[in-house]
Amino acid sequence: MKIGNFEDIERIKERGLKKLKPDDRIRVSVGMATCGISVGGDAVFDEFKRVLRGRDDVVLTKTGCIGFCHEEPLVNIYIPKKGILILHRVQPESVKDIVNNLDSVETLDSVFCQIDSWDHLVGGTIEYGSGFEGIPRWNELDFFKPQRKLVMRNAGIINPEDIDEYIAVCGYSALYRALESMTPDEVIEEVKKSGLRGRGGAGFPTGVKWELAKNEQSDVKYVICNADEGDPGAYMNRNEMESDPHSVIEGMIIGGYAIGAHKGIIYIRAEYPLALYRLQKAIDEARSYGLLGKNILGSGFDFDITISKGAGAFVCGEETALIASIEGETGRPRPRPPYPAQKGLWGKPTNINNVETWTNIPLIIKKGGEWFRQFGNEKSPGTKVFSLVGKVENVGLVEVELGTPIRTVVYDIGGGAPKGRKVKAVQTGGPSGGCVPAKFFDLPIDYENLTKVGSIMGSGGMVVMDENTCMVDTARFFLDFSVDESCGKCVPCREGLKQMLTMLEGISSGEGSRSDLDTLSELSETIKTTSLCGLGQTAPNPVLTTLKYFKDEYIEHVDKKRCRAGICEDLVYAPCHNACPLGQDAPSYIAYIAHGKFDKSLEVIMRTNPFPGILGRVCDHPCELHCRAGEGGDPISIRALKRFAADRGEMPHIKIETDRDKRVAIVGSGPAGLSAAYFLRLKGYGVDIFEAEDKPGGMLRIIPDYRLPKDVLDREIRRIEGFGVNIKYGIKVGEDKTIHELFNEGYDALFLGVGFRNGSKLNIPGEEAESVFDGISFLKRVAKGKKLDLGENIYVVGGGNVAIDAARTAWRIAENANVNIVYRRTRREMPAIGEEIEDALFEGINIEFLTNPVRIITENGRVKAVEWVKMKLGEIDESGRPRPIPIEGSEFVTPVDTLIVCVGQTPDLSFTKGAKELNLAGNTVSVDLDTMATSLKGVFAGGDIVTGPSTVVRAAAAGKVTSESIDRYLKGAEVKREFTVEFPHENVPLLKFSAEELKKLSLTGRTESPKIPLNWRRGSFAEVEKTLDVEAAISEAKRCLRCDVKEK
Amino acid sequence: MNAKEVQVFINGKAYRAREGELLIDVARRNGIFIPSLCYEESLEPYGACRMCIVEIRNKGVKKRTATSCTLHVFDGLSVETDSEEVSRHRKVLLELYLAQAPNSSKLKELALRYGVSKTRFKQNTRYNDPLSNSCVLCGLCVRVCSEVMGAGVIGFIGRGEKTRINTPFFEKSDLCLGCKACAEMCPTGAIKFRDEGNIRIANSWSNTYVELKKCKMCGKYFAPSKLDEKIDSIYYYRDKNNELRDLCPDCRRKVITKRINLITENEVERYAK
Repeated sequence: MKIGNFEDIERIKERGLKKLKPDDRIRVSVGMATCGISVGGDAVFDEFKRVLRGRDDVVLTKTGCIGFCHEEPLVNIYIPKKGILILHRVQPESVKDIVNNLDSVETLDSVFCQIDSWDHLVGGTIEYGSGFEGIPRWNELDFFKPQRKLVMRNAGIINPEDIDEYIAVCGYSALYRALESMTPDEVIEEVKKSGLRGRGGAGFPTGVKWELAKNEQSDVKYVICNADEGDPGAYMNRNEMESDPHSVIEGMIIGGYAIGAHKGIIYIRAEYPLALYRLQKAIDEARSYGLLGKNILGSGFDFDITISKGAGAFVCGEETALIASIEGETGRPRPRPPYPAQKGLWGKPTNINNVETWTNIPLIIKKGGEWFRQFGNEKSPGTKVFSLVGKVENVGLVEVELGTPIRTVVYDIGGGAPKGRKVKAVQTGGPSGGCVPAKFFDLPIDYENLTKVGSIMGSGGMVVMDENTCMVDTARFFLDFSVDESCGKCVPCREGLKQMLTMLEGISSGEGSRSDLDTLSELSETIKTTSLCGLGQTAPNPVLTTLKYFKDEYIEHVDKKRCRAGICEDLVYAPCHNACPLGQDAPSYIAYIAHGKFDKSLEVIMRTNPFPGILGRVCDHPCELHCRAGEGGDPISIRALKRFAADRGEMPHIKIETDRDKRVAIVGSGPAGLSAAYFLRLKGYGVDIFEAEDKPGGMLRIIPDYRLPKDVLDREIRRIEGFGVNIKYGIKVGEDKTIHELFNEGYDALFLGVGFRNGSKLNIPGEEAESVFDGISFLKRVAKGKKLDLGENIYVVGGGNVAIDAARTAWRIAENANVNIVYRRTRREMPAIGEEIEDALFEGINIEFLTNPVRIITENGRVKAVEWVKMKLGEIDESGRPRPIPIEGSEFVTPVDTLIVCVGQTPDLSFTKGAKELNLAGNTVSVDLDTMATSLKGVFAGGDIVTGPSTVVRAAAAGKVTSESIDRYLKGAEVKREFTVEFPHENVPLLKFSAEELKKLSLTGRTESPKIPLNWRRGSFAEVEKTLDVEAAISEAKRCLRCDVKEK
Repeated sequence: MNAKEVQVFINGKAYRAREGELLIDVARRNGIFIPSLCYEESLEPYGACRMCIVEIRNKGVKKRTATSCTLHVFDGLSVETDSEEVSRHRKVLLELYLAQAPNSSKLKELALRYGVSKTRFKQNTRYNDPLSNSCVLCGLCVRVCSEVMGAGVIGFIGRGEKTRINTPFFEKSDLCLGCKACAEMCPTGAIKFRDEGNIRIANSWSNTYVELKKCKMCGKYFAPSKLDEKIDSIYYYRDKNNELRDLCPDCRRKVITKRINLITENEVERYAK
């Protein structure tokens, strides 16, 4: 049937609406874009087909993708009058259940959200009904809330393989309008007015481009749709074609009419079979309706579209190479000018636009350029679809208005990085783009802003990177892609990129030098300036931006042969080992546990760990954050396994080297001092520790008993003492003895392992009141067994580990009190260990986020109440976290009996008395971070006093590193540290698993340490976590992927 | 050509040119050296070697670089051929070339002209390279073979850094005329031919060989037979005995000279009577 007039369109529209929104039948539509199919959408569809056979009250159709790839396969269930219900993660097994419960579909577990009405824009809002109570509407979900669907106006709702449904949402009415009542010039004027810019990446104004092609005199002209999408991690165009192919076609017809072309070509890569199929089907259907071909809609305008298949070369996205490819030549760019608008395909004027640009056209023609301008910002109107991928919780296609901050896309829509890791950067524009670091996440996304920070808009790929992403490796990856895809015509791109790749490979295998970094940037500049086409001109961007924003990582690779993300294979033994400040050989000790050899396991641990019993309990385990099993699954419980080995294994015999006649004095018996003492003693030095308090342990001693029982602490310290380390109590260095006096007493070297023992103040009125504590002194008092009356309302201010410790301690002491933690940012920014926060919440401690104290109201010298102010997150500061800003007028008062302030700590710097030569940096000692040597000869420092308050494992590591420096110093060698790549050689044999066992293992989740029940915790300081039992430990150890085993 | 005459400024000096002419032509005509590896007047501009970049310094326009072999001149165009930026990039490009084609002495000469004597980059050492690690893929050979000779014997194989120039599938070609235009054009001296008895072997092109034609007079092999078939000359039409075609250039010259001399002798005799 050919459409001849408006009535025909209306008739088809009626028919289409009946299909889209049947009056009397249920409509089940399965998300069947490639993303849906790849996670089993087709199997779900087939199962529906099988189960629904013979049911005429249900229609089954396909639909495209609504964008939420993370939740696929998605199934839309339309129930007349009640609306559309979206089910997520539907598996074929659950189909039967769904079909049996179609009447009460809202009770199913897989219910995700509902669509009561949907604005199809061109077709206006369609009310699908409202009858599902208590189910969130689609645009109430965090993922959809900040989005604005212009391009994806029909995606995931209509059946892309049925032209009637496109017409039902007023498809082709823009074309009708253009042909019926607009001249080509008016069409171009409207597009110009809209301010639409090319969505392929360069952002050239579309209207201007059309005008150029229109003004060329020629009998034959072409319009081309560039569907050669090829950036790694980008799939916007694919989905646009798969979910709404007619909008592309309609846009192209309008474009052809405006320019005066009668032939359109869609250049699409053969790697997109489904998009190809749907486009071809759409073209055929449009042709059969007379929307393509001769005399379209009776206007006398002829236009037809053919598809040209490309073989998938990235460079064919460049317009001159694309034209060469269509002409049957090798896809190599040609010099411009002449521009395609003058001399394009077959030498004729040609206009090329990206898929997404075309899909915007019907919208602009129907609703007007002015209307379009209300979205986005002044210079970049409209929306942009991004494929949000990489290390982000909610992977999917998101469409946001241009000018939306990156933060909204990454955090609000994307949900941040998985497993509580920190997002480091986002890569936009694929291999031609750059990495935008987290400190720029407030940047509104538009063409100019992204260019300003060295990246580009590109076609819309957005790859999120977290701590487990190595920036050198990222640059290497994208460059590898560009080298592969370079056509090889011009030398800077062909040879230059290859040389850059060679250098980057050198750097990531630890063979790079500092001069390589300079050469890299110099070469990048030349390639950018002198390359023939856009591929070469932009290919160095990933390297340039990472070099600019993450130079420290490059330098670490070059100077320290270290890849902090644990990615560069030649530098990394295993990600866990790489992440551990102590360099614990975790794969080997875990493997020994899997073998049942617990003693061997402890032996491996003891090589690099001075107190496994302590660290097995309180370590913040950076190893688990980087564990490869955690990519897509759960990380191994490495800390729990260490504790298991420490508790179960028999202490190995540890050999002490022959005694040397040199002696070392250590100030402070905290983790740094103990660790340095242990390793120095093993090397045969005489070691004396000077401790100001009467008990050893330093900051370890204020860790509450429920986390680290004092007997464990004492046992571990006694073992170190057993090796011949003397601890002298009650001597405060600086006051009782100066550093110089220690040297005079015959010590040959000195290690400062002092902690940050004083709590900081809030500096607000009323802080001097009696029941205001700082976290450290509160914990210290409790540790000493002092009785405290805390009252009923206990508030802890702060978000670090001390705050959590203080809150949980107070919760234990004051059995009837309510305990609250108040933090000025949100959970995402909280620095405390994740599990500790979980435990605190589990114990019933309330955490108030985005709140800060303003003033303390006192009565008779005691706290009576506190006035708080609500905060909001502002711009991102240098730390990469949003700055908290008080909201004016949001002050409120709550009654408070005890206020514990845990907002930071300061050190007692009295040890510097009489040692003016010791250089300080603020309230820390400044050292050479490689060797820990201070400005004073023979004096070294490590731990909190160098870094500020940090973790136990970092302090222990500082002690270990220093012991090596002191060793070199005392042997008379140069203190300078040589960095080499050294891997442990434990080579624990691999366990053999049958296929069945492997399958079972792959399905086994993480085993955590068992915890005592909640009702045993209050009023008691019993240790919360218990040691794993043998069976659990072995089975958990078996899950280890053994990253240490390298393929030979 | 009756194109408009325009004035362009090269390194600050004014020159006359026709509108739309390529800048490199204007410069060379006036004795200004702009290096290039892939440009040749008789071929379509290609823009691959990037050596001929110049800096456009027109007022009011953002300073940018462009290749002079694709830059069509317009009135008032002002360029610098050796600005600081241009030289800097050229040096890096030359280093890249030296790494790609370490065996080319011609390239080394060019590099030295810009003070580049060694490269920081990893040098290409392909074993048994038919182009003896001297090819820079400028494409002159490929283009002259198809655009001028109409033979299309060689082409680009593969893409990116794996691009090679050779005959299809690295097999002997029977289309080659043996004209050596490719070798003649090659800016780096990478292409090798060898004449052995009655055959000419293109060592670089998968040992493609062509037969050579023997001079009927002196017996020397002088030109590829296939190429000779394609050559036409006004002398051949005038040549009633049809013997010139089979003579080498030397013998041909002798014969023609002799004939001219013979005629002259007759005429002398006639005039003498």
